[in-house]
Amino acid sequence: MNAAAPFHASVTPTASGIALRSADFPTLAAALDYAAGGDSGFNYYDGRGALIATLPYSELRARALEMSRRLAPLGRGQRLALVAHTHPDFAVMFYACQYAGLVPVPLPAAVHLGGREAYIRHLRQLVRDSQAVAAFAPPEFVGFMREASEGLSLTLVGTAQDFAVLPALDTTPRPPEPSELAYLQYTSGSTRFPRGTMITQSAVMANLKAIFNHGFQLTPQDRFCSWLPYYHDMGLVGIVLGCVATQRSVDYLPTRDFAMRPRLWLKLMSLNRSTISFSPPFGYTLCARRLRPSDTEALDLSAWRVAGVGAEMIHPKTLHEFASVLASAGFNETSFLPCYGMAECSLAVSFAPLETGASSDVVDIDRLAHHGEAIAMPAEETAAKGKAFINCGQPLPGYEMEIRDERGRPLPERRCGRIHLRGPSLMSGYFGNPEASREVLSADGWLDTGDIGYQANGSLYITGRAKDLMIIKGRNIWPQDLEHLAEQEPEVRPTDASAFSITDDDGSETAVLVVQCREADPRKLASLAERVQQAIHVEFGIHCVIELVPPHTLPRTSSGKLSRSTARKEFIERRNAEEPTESRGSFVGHARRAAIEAESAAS
Amino acid sequence: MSETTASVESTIREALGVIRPDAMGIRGDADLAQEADLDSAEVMDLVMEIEDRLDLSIPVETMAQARTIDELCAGIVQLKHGTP
Repeated sequence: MNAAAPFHASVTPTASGIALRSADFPTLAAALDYAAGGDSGFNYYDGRGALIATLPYSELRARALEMSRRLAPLGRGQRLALVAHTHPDFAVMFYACQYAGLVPVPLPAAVHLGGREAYIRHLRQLVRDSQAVAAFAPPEFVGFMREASEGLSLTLVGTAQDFAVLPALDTTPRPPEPSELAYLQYTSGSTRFPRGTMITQSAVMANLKAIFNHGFQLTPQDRFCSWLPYYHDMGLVGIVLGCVATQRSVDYLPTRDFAMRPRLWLKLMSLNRSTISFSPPFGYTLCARRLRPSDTEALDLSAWRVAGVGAEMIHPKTLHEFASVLASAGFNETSFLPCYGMAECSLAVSFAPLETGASSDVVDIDRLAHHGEAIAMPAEETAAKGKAFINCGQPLPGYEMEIRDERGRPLPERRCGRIHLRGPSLMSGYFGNPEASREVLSADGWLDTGDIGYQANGSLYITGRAKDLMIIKGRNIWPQDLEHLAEQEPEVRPTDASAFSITDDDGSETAVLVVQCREADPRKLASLAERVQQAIHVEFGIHCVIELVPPHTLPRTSSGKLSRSTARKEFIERRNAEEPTESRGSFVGHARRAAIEAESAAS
Repeated sequence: MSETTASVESTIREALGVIRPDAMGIRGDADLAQEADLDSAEVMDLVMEIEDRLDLSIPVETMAQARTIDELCAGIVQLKHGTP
């Protein structure tokens, strides 16, 4: 796309015009070489639903090859940081790295209200951690990137235009080998301790091949629509790389525009008769809430045959609500395709069976909580002690899964434990962090996913997480990051804060931070709670319930470490004991609460 | 210019009123998301309400620099008048 030229093109067609191949390529570059022979490609829409750019794969390849001759001198295997905004230039730079043998590092493109400094800090940390030699950002984000890389010795920080004037090699660089790294993906890591998964060409290609041949097979009529961020595995690997590897057209809506106008997603699906789209559960919820009856009348979602759902715990109610609201628009509940995966496995581990919708297993919650047994409840059982878990399907062919107890011994079916995984698409490790890599990756090739679940009839059911990760409205948040923010306040000493999440009745998570401090003055306490809450809001854009408690309240393990799980249990006990007069997003515990709330109201 | 500022500010408050009616009157220098108790999805909702009312699109840079109603207002006024 040439920004200066008036833009008249229409969307790339659903039919590519070439014989379709299902991700059976040795490398990402080889996949694009093939896709470029057809007419399909990427289409970019803006927040008003207008088509603003198209990038057929033939053009993507030509531009990426041209750019690769300018990137190659940066050095084979070197990292190039790419702010992964939903923009054609990102795709060009990503594939230019492929052709040049560089390792692209997609970075987040999301800023909160007033979150400039926090975002710049985060970018800077990722650029340093990945030891990037240069950094790209599309025009909207280049200001942040320039500031983030000040003082770091990068060869170049700029937009695609800036990279286009680098001197070019006369010849096309040697294409990558399957054993070379395809990209580094920063994922679900703490903002303070980022972890970049190293994914080789053969790993990502093995996963794509399994997904599109066994997870869900494609038909010639398939067309994708996506608002998923380019910096998450589902958006990058599943959609951007997956659609090139299967020669399918995609209609993109930037994530920010989706968040602002979620109904646009469905409008585009209806307009282009898209058949496949993925979202975390919260995306479906957001949509269902904003829809008005007049919207559904104008929509035709009857072509939507795969509505993928993953990336966080799935609750049957969420999906059912979305389906009921959109039934009149032709949406079929059996289109839901629950899946399970993680960036450490490139992307996908398992898919539920197709065309059956989300099915769940109702188990006795007491037996599960106390004995780790997932005992199916008979249908006639009416005692309200059952909890439903979603069937995430069987592992893809070529992948082994084991559910293990605390001592690492494999557990039989219907017993809950840590999910371990072995297969052809696992990461090689976390970049520059052998210690963290060893923690999750064993010498014999097993990955400890940190998730908890059980298997029944070979299918996987996720019940929780062993790692402390919280997922709030689709965003991964690590407790240590919230604790660290609290500890920045002068009244709070190190290890005086404990963060965890609590789950509401409808399954959504809320972050809680319990902070102990010696202060007794209610006015000062209110100020502290407010500062901590503000800091968390700016950094993560989430509400966090802050509870201030007297010293020595937080539970410690025998070795003196804070125990988040016990802190959580005690918090819930305190909350149940007191008649909660919770004002949304700010819960301040103990007898001081009334005084603090009065103070806040007066200020 | 001050007339523009006043009208932009009242538009922001009007938009805020759609999402949090009881927060329309918060101080201009108070932390907007915090004071009005908006989560990230509601912030995006607010931005949409403002964009639709003023018929402009608010760039990420403007959002990233605005913590308060006053700052958001200044950012939008600057957009409408071109960068200084």
